[in-house]
Amino acid sequence: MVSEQKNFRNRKTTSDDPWAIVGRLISGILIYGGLGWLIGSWFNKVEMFVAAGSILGIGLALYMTYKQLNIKN
Amino acid sequence: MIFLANFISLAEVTCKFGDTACPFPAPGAGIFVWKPLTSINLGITTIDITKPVILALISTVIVSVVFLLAFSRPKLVPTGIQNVVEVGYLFVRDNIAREIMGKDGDRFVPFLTSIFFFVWTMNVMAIIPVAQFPVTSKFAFPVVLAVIVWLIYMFLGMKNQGVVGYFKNIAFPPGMPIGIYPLLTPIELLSTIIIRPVTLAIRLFANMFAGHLLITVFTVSAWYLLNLSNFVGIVSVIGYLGSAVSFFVTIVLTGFEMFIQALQAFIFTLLTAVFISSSLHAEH
Repeated sequence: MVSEQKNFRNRKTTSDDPWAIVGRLISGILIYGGLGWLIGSWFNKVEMFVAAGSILGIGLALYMTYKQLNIKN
Repeated sequence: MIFLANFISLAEVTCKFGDTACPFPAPGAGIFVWKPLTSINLGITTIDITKPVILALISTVIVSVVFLLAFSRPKLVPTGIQNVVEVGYLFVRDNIAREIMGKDGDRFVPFLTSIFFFVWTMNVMAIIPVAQFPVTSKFAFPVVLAVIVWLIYMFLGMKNQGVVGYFKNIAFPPGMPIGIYPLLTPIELLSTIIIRPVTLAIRLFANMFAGHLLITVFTVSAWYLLNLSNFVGIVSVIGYLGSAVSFFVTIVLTGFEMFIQALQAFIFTLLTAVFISSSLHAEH
């Protein structure tokens, strides 16, 4: 117990945000889905561009999470 | 009497007990809307004092008084209330602050402890008789807490990493191929600066909102199904059975809610610590 208290300064901290991936997925969809909506309104093909943009956003968010977890391990 | 009546939420139940023609009065969003008990006119705007406001004030007083009583004359060997509160304080210190931030965490333990016990007390109001309303299920309360957390971690980030450095560290997470940054930067900026506090507030609000709604639905249905017992034969049996089951589920859900209330307060505090920690050191 005492040694544990003394050693807390050397303990490995777990400072990763466990909800970061949810935030990234949401913002990926918002940004690239929104961009898709803008482009789609221009070309009169809203559904297609929103879908494509959202998938791109989700893909980027997952890719970023994959890369970051790879670095840490 | 009018004052007391305003402690009952706006959702009006017109059904009387024994009125067998009455449809099920399903509780909806109306149970979260309260009539003002009194209004304070400030000229520009009026502040309505409702039941959630009073419960929030009571929570503040409870947390303040308990901590003042416990630590006003602290003893080296804790006794009585100091003993109990110290367990809570050590829990936040060892399981949240030190676990997330290591040696930097000790500076933030008072803040994290206040947040944890304040949120928890406001949540627990859901199952205290007479109060019976989770203060945090009114969206404004989690929003204000999330804004406070946001201000603190943004300020700490700019203080520790420099204004430009902080935003640079958010926008360009290390370890990505250079070419992909133009695509990733907007995602990372939006998720760290805006989505973080938004989800922090929504998570607490939605959990307490849903829990209160669930308990209310089963409480009302226990009362409503007892109505059916006025019929004869099989319908009355179904009424008694349904009512008993609903009542039992209410009790089970109340126990479950006690767990959720503590868990949500813990998660809120944990994420606050994670955000503060990420502002103290840039990721490498």
